[in-house]
Amino acid sequence: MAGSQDMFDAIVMADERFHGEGYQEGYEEGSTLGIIEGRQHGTLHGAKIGSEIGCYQGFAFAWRCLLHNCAAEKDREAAIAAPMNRFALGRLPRVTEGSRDWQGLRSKKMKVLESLIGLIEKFPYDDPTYDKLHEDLDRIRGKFKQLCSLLNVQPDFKISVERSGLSF
Amino acid sequence: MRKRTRSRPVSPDSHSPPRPWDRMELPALPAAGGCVVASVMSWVRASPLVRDPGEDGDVFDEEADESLVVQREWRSHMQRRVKVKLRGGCGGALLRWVRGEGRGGVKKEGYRDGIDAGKAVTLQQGFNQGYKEGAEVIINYGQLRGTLSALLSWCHLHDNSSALISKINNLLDAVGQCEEYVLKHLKSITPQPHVVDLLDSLQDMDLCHVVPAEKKTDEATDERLCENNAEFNKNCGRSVNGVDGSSLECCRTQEHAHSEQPSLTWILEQTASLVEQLGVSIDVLQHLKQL
Repeated sequence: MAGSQDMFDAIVMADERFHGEGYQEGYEEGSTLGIIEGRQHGTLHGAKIGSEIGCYQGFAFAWRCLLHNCAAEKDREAAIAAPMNRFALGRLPRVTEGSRDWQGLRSKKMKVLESLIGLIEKFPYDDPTYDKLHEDLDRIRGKFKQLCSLLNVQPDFKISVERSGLSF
Repeated sequence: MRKRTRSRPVSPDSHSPPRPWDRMELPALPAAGGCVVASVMSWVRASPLVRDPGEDGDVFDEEADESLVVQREWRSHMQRRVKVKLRGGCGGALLRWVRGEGRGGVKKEGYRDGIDAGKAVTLQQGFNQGYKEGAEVIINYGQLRGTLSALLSWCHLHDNSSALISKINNLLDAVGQCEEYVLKHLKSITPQPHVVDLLDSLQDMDLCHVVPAEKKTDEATDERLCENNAEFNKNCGRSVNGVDGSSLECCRTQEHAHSEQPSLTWILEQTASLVEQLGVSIDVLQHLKQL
């Protein structure tokens, strides 16, 4: 009787043991798989954000320099540079008053530009757990659009079709 | 016995045809009082083949023998009881042994549970890790892309020559290609492989001779990427030694930084010469210095 009890115990315990062994193996394998799978998704999303933020950053920095450059040039060769700039700014349909006041418009551009750069530099682009990620990203996007319309440009970052869906 | 049976649809699907083992169970029926023939007959009667074609719309069988329902209920009840008995107590193990799964089955089940649990724990960790890496590496390409776009829009505003504009466009495309290439590599890196594991699996798989071949494929891809421009190749050789991926914090991406760097340096050089041609101060590329 005791023997048969042991036998059943062995069977019951074997069940537990085999399950436990399998679980342990599976857990290790699953941990590795989880890291790999998570990394793959994370890399894609991180790259999307990095690409978008980098674009804005590069664009903003370059334009800041171009505007400075332009101003210096204007100061140096006021007679030649002014009509050219006026021509360029004259194409702005919305800012008619500003286009007459070149200095005023330039300072407005610079203001928006600096505020965009400030937003970007504050943005923790490499932290997916940042709780205001979407909120801040939207603000950056909005600021960027505002800057583009002020500059009267429509930049094409040539982000490939496959990854064009920058919102997630 | 009531005349009307419980409402029961008569679609042929709802009645399984009489099976051989029905005969075994039926004599044990307590009070149904039906015999096999009766049961089969009621089934036949209930089937639409024998039904009066006039009562097409009627889904209830008025004449069927009630015993069939009772039989079926009793059968399913018994089946459930047997299963419960086997599952209860040590029955779980017994049932599996009986089902022939034995050790392997239990282990497999544990393994599956383990995989799910392990994955759940590390998935987010892996995601965060990959996110950081992807963002840190790709932001450099984004910056270059943004700078080129700024120059392009500048050119459009100032009606620069179309030759310069198409050059910027080409550079933008090149940046896109680099980016894609780097991203592909980033995704395929397995995280922190342990040397022992690697050696083990290499030995197990007898793959030692394949590894150099794989490297060659990488180089081939590099060159294919470069072949749009003859200058690419010259630069490949030159800058592999000269440039290190200092901007990339992650040491795991270092070796990939080498393969990504050549064309990137080339693009940077081209951009610098382009800026000169535009008559813009080279400061415009200052923020790219960290590349």
